[in-house]
Amino acid sequence: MNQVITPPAPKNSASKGRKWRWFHRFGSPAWVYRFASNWAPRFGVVAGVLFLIGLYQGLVVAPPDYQMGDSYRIIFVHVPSAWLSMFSYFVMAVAAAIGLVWRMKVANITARSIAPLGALFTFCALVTGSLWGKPTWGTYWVWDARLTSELILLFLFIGFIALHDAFEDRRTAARASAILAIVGVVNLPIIHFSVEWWNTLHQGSTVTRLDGPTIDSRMLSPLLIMFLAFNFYFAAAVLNRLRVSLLDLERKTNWVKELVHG
Amino acid sequence: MAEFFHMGGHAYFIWMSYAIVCITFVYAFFSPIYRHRKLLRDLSKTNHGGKTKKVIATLKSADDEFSQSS
Amino acid sequence: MTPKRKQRLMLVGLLVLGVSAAAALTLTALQDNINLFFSPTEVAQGEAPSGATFRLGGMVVDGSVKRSQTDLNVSFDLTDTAEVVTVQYAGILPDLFREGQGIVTTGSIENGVFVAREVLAKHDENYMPPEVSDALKKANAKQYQTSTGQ
Repeated sequence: MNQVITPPAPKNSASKGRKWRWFHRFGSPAWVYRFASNWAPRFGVVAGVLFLIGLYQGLVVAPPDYQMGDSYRIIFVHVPSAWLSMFSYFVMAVAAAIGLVWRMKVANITARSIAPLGALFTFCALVTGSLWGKPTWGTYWVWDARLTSELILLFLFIGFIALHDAFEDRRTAARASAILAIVGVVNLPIIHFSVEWWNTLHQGSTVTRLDGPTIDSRMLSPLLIMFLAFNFYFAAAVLNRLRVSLLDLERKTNWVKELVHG
Repeated sequence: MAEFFHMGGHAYFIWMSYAIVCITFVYAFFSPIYRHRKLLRDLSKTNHGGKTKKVIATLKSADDEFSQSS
Repeated sequence: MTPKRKQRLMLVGLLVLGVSAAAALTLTALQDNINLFFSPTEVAQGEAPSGATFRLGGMVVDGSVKRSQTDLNVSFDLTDTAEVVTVQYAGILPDLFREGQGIVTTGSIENGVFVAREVLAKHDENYMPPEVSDALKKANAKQYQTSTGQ
């Protein structure tokens, strides 16, 4: 006697259900935990391989610059760090906004997982820039618009972490820090266009120009490889952080108990 | 080789930049993996799921003994 | 999307718009303070503070660099292609300092001459190997010869 079980009809129409399914998956801590566990190592390996190629190309193969000689090689870590400091802030703000609008727990934990990495990228961009500035400009630091706005970005990341962790209640923490993250987005175009809107010591854009990059192709290719490596690194590192945060915050739930004892 | 490390006199600035990025990135990548491993270990120790199962098992065997003897 | 979520999304949008507007107004009002340096034209128009320390930025005029034989004193002209300011400096110049290079210098005007306490080199957004730069220079020189030779 085979009994056919018919599933209950979904509330929404079928097409709408499919469209939103991926979105709802990301709302499930257990699913995201598994996703992170699967993909973090893969992204990590890709990043590692790209780092090795990029470092070799950048430090050994690429020719020296006609003015700066070898010191320009700092570009291969400075520019990707600076790009990721802004990109990670944007992703963090979007995740925080999703958490705010949809009251999605995972989105908030994602934002909180991105923040320390964003702070790290910003720190690296500032320090490598400073180490590049000394032999090139003649100073480690100058209070021009680009450097100052990038420093503000570091304070935004740190402020986000501090505000988030200042609240005992997780939902209050999520809301307050999300508003800070969203307000801080205004700083991103300021950083990018600072070298056009004001006169600065920092030079204008090299790669993201309307008339094409003003860098020799043998120098551009290691830069692009490092740029890819940094992006994969970012993905892997965020998933690593997200994984441990999810496990920690969900320790009382059934899926964690099943994972630990099953 | 020595020339490569010398970097046209800019060795300090270049190697310092790469070293800072390298060390912080490696740390930021592996520290959550380590914390994850530690957390899994702690959870399997402190969570009393295993203990409950044991209690149920002993109760069951006692129950079996009782029904056999009667 | 539920109406409540839609409402919250609109609030987020309004927040971004509001903060952007506030930032735009503030930055426009502070325009002069955010600029790192004054140009020779602004100095000529008397916009730079007289008697006080300020930063001056411009291009080093070709053939204007005069070095002292006995000490580190050097003088050169800075231009923004419209006006020219003469700069005096005693100290070590950055590696990138050369004629035609962008420079930012800190100091003050004394008797019509800018006395610099610090000279920083500005780097441009072009990166190329030396041989490419040489080839470009040669090509430019050739073009210059053919255009003036006729």
